[in-house]
Amino acid sequence: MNPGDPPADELTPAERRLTQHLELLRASPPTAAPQLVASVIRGVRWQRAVREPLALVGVVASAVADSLALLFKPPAGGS
Amino acid sequence: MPCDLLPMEPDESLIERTLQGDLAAFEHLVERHRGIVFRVATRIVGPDDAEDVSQDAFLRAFHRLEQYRGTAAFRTWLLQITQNTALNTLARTRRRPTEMVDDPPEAADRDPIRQPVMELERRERQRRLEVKLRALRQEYRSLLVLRDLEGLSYSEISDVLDMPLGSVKGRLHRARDELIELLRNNTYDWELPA
Repeated sequence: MNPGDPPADELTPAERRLTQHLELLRASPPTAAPQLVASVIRGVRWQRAVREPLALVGVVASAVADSLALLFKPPAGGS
Repeated sequence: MPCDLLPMEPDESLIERTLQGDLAAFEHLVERHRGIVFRVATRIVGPDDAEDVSQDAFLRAFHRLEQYRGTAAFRTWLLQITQNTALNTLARTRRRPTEMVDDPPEAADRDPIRQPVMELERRERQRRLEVKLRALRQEYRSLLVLRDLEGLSYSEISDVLDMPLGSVKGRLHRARDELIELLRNNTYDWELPA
């Protein structure tokens, strides 16, 4: 029970019984495989490694697109 | 290293170090919070997708760490990401609730002679309860998991689910009612008073 939470006696009898049943699940929680931490860190390393090259490719592509737009831009006031 | 053995460096300090490029600090954060992230993921998406959801949630948290403002506890912020990642997974797999509610058949390897009856009974009740919990509509399931299984305060749940505090209390009541009804419709007698 956390501060500010209503007291348990506000529960209906059925809710109280349900809470007792749920103890079954609280008592046997699913546990994460120890490899989870390693997988996350591997993922972070890999994503960090590809992030900068990908960002660079994005910058280059954007610059090329801007240049092409300038080259093929119709002259101002032209008909 | 088990979570209990980690030196209790505050999350905020570990976040600060992570933002400075210290990956070992982020590893400590993952180690510290992997339990609750995995449990919540399992209860929302089921055991098959729980590991992927947990991993995705941590990766998203890493990339958004600069956006963490510290107005809520890191655990709350992380659970918000976990919840959203789990919802995305459910939407992507388009799993219909009915596919999860059917009581699975009894496991063939349960030998009643080798296992004490009480233990068999306990496992069976647990299995049925898990099935019924997954049959709840998703919004109610998240509420019940965060409150009745993980023991989060109403205020934390309000932050995780981005829901007003008053709605959390009202919907939690309705969520319990729905689960009670599901259990009453079960062939198993849960002895739930009217």
